[in-house]
Amino acid sequence: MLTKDLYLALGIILFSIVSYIGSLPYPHQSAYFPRFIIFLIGFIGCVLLIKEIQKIKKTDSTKIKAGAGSGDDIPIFKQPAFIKVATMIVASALYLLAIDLFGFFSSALVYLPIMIWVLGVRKIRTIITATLGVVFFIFLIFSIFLKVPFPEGILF
Amino acid sequence: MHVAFQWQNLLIAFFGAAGGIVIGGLPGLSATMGVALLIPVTFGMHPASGLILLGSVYCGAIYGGSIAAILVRTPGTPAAAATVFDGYEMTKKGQAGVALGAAVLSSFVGGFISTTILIFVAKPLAMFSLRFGSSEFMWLGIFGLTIISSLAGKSMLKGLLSGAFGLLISTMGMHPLTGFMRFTFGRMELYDGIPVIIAMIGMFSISQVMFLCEKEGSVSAEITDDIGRVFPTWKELNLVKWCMVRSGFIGTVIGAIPGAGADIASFVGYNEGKRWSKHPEKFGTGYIEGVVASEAANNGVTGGSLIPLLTLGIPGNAVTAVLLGGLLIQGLVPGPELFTKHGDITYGFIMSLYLAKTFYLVLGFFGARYFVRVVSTPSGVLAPVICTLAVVGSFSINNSMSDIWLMLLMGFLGYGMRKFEIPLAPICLGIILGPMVESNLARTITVAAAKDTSVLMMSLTRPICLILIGMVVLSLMAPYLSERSAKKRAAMLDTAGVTDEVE
Repeated sequence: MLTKDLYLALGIILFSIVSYIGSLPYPHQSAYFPRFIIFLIGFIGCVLLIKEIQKIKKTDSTKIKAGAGSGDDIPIFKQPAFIKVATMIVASALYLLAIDLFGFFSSALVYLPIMIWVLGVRKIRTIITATLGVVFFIFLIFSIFLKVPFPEGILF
Repeated sequence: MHVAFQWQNLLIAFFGAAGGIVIGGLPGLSATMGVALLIPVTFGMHPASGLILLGSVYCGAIYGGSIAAILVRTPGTPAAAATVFDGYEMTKKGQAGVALGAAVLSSFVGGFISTTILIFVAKPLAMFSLRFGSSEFMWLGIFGLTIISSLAGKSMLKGLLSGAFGLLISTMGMHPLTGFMRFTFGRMELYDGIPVIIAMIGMFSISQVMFLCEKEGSVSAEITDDIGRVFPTWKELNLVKWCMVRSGFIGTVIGAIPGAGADIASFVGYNEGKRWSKHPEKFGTGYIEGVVASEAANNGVTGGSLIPLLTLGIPGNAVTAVLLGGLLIQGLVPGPELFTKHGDITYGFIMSLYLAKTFYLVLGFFGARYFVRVVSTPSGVLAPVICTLAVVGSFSINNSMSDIWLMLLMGFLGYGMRKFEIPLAPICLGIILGPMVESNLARTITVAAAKDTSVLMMSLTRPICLILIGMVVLSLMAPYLSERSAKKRAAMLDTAGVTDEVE
C-alpha cells in the first residue's frame, strides 16, 4: 500500500531530477550552489523512500487494512473538507481577478459575505457585521492611518 | 528610551499588544502568521515604529494563546499547549478568572526577565560577531538551518527537506555575481526572486486559511461569561513567585537556542515547575502553579529569541524568522551596527517590549472579560478575513498584483507541505539565509583557492568555524538525543487533545 510519505519521496526524487535537468544550461558559477541543493533534496528523497519501504514491509497487512479507515472509502475529491478547500481556492482566484477589474474594496464587499456563507456561517447578522466591520477596519487603519496602497479597478 | 516613549510609538505598542492578544487568542491563528501579515504594513513606517508594532504583536500573541487554552481547552498558539493541563481544569472548578490573571502576570514576569537579559547580553554578543569572516558567516547560516530543521516539527528529515527547499527557492532570480537568471521560467516577475515576505504571508497565512476551511465553519466555542475574580491574592502570589522567576529564566535560555520555540519552553517550564514544586501531585488537577510555570516560560522566549536574531541574524524561532524579514525590509542588518549606528532604533525597540508587556498586563487584567468573546469567532469568518488581510499585505510591498498571485501559490505550497507534515519555519529561514550562505560560500571558495587549500581545511583551522561546525553536527544529532523528551511531550499532547502545529 502506498503511504503519504511514499508519494512524497517519489515526488521529491522526480522534482530533483526535473530541477537538475532545468539547471543544465546554467554556467558553472551560477549553477554549483543550486545543483548542490538539488542533490541534497534528491538524497533526502531517497532516504525517505528507503525508510518508507522498510516501514511498509514491517507493517502487518491487517493493520494496514484497519488503519485505512473510512477516509480511504470515500474518494478524496468527494470529501467535504476537500470540497471546501477547493471552493476556497477557486473563490480566492476569482477574488483576485475581480480585484484587478473592480478594485479591492468593492471586491471584498462581495467576496467576504459569499465566502463566510459558503464556509457554513448562516447568521445574516454575523455575515453583515463581519463584512462591514472588516472592510471598514481595513479602510480606516490601512488606507487612512497607515496609507497602505490598494489595488485599483473601475470601481472603488 | 525616548524613541519608545514617543506618543505615536506608545499608541503603536498599545494597539500592537491588543491586536496580538486577539491573534493569539484565536485558535487557528498564530503569532507567526500575525507578524507575517503585518510586516508589509511596516514598510511605510519609521523603522522604530515598525519594529515596535511587530514586537508588541509578538509578545501579545504569545500571551493571548493562554486565553483559549484556559477557557476552551484549545491553545490559541502552540506556546500555550502546556497551559491547558491546569488552566482548563481551573476553569472547570470555576476559577477561570484566577487562571487568566495568573497567566497574564506570569507572562509579564517571564517576558520582563527575558527582555532584561536581552539588554545586557545582546551588545557584547553583537560585538563578538565582528570577528566573523565569510567562512564564519557561511557556517553560521548552515548552523541556523540545521538547528531549526532538526527542532521544528516531528521529523528531522522533513525539516532538512524544508530548509533545502528554502535554499533552492532563494536561488530563483538573478545571480548576484554573474547576473544570470535562474529558475525564472521566463517570467519577469521572478527576476528578483520570490520576496521573502510574500513567501511567509502565503505559507503561514494562506495555508492556515485552507486548514480553517476544513473545519465546520459555523461552530464557535462556548465560552463562560462569568469568569469570576481575575486578580490573584497575596497568598497565591507568594506561592508562585519563585516558579515565575525560574520559568522566566528557562524560557529565556530556550528562546536563545535557534529552533527551540515557545512550545518547547512551555513544556520544559511546566516540567521543571512540577519538579521543584512543594505539591507536584497537584499539577494537572487545576493548580495555579501549573499555569504560572508554563506561561512564564513561553513568554520568557520572547526576549531570548531576539538575542541570536539581533546579534547574529539567526532567528530563535519561527516568529523571529519572520521578524528577520521585517528587519531586512527596513534596511536593518543584524549585527554590531544594530547597536551602534542604529542603536536608537534597536534600543527603542527593546524598551518597547517592556511597554508592550505592561500594556498586555493591564489589558489582561481589565479586559479579560472582553477578550474571551474573541475566542468564540467561527472559523468560517476567520478564513476569508485572513485571506483579505493577506491580499492587502502582499500588494503593499511592490504595488504589484503578481505578488498577490505569488502569495497564493506559496500558500498552496505551504498547505501541501503541512499536509505532508513538513514544517514551514525552515523553508522561510532557507529563503532568508540562502543568499548569505551562497555569497559567503563563493567568497570562502575564492579565499581558499588563493591560499591553495580547501574550504573544509580552511574552516577547520579557524576556531569560530570549528565551534560552528561542531554545533552543526550536534544540531543534526539533537533529534536523536532528545527523542525521549519528544515522546514524553507527545504523550502529554495526546492527553490534552492538542496537536503540534507550526508556531
